[in-house]
Amino acid sequence: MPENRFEKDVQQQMEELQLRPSEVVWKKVEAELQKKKRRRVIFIFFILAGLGLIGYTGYIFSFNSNKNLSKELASKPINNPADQTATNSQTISPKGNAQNSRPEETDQAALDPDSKEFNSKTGDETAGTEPVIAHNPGQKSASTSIQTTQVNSQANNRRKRKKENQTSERLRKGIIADQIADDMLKTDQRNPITSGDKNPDIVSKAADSLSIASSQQKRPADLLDTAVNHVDTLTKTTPIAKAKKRKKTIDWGVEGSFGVTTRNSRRLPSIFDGQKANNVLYTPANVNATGSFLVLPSPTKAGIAFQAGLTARVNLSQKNRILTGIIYSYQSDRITTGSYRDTNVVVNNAISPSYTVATLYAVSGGRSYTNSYHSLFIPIRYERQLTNGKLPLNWNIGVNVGYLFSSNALVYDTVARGSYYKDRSAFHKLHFSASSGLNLAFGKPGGMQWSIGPEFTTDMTRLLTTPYDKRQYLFYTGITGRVLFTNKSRQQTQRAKK
Amino acid sequence: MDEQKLVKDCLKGKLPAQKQLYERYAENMLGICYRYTRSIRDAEDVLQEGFVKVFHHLGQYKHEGELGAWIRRIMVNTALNFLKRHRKYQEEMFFTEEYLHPVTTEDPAVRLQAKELADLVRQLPQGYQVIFNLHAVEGYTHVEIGEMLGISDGTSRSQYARARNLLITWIEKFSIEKKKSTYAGK
Repeated sequence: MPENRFEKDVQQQMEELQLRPSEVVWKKVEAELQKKKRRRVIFIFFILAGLGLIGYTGYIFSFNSNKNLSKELASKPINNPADQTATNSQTISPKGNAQNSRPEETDQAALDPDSKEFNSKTGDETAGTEPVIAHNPGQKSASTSIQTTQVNSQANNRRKRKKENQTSERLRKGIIADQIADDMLKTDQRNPITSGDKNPDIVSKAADSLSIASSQQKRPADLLDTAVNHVDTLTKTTPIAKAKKRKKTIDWGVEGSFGVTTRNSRRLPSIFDGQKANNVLYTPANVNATGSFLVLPSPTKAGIAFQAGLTARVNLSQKNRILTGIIYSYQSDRITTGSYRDTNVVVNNAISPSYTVATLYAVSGGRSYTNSYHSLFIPIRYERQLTNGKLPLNWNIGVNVGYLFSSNALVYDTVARGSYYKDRSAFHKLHFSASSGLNLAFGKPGGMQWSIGPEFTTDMTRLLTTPYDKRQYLFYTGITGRVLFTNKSRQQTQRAKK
Repeated sequence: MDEQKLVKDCLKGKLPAQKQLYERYAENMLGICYRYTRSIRDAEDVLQEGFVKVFHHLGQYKHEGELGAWIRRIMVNTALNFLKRHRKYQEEMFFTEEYLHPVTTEDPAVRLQAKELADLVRQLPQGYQVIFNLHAVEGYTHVEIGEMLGISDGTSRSQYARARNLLITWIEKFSIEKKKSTYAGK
């Protein structure tokens, strides 16, 4: 609180000071807010994409391990077509009594697909005639009842014409069934097919009965229906051979990596860049000034790092793959600090000046401190096989979406002539990084496949939030090894081809 | 709109609420940023950066004090960080230990307008300007200022005393010249 009038007046006047900002300021603020929203959306998208990919691979994996659908269908019990013939004739004949019988002289025309009666739609030619359906030879007396129906209204004739068309359709099917059966018999003889795709017994039996039926001049309704039913049976029990597609197979496995991490002021530094100051407050102009505003922080050194996790490889083709998974990452770097002390100090790098730090490390001293970073990330990488042979060389490149869930890293501040303290909110939690690497693959095609090779990962997200430092990125280099358990069904397919 | 509801809507990411919050405090905050910088353009940069931080960390506001006071602290910190990051300000932000500082008993009244006073304060050397703003206007103690700037409280006191003397001299001169011009106009 100001004690003197001067300070009171100054404070009062300054609080009244209001200046109108230009409209550009709000637009820039808005743009920053939208950027952050977009980053959040992108993060959620990548997480969902990663989860979707993992779920899809799991679904494909479980789908491939199920029994073949055609095997199940083929193994279902089906009635003997010869038996079915008798059954159908019994079921149809009651209908034939009422409506479906016709004089014998029109039977042949009815059976002929090219006949006018067969194709008639207007019904003029067939007006006054019965629907074109084969009749049961045992039901000749039905013709009288049919003649009676000729006297009925036009609606009845329309109904009859509809039935004619249906019947003609069934005739067509019967003829087609003949052809199908013939073709299938020929195919069976030429290309023996495994039991998984067809039931040859059923096919040959159906074909036999059909060929018998087709050789007859007249087609009784029961035989026609049998033919139609055979077509249905055949299509159900003998799935049409589809063009063989290459299935995308998924290989699951584990991966591990060991290497070093450095903290650098550029996204793509060399690991041999040397030590870099880890704070933007450092400027050469104020190195030696006594009592200067700026105190040098400790430079950082590389620290050990390792990664381990589950991995999945989606084989798009023989040489192109997608790698994904979920990986735990430990990274570290080292700084030199001074003595540790308990204190209550207000730091000015925090968002709010009420941020009080309870423990501090002095900036100068001989103690080594290791900053550790623990994160989980989901990699999404494209891999391409570059060479063939026993030890194919693969190259991969991709992005990683990670979450820094724990860290003990220290943040530098100018308070008390330079200190280090812990502030978890100083670090960005969500990290995007890019990685690339090479590996040599080896192992038997039917068994486990190994790969090993160098990889590097560069963080595209700044390590610290803006108030602290703009340019600090983690950079990892190491050797990565993967063990993949190849898909068994793919192995069986490959063996079958051989 | 009620302040609590406004904060809630801002936390939900509603742009109209965020704009309303900005419009409510922007003019006052620009005045604060103006006092720490040399130009209105730099002041607007600080204002923009400060409001981005406000929206980003609005979840940390616990409704324990006024929202304006909370935003004000963020603006002051943003201004200080801005000064630390830019070379043109760093070169002037130089504090030396003062073992003897002038003692003054002057306590004049300030009869200038806010903008005039702010312009005079901005003419102080950068280090003086920062300490004067932090102590006289924001109300920080010299111990707190020392910790914020990495200097001793003694340095803060002496720097402030020098700044105060300088400013009083300028205010008196400015007042005299203003009176002369007023009478000349008449």
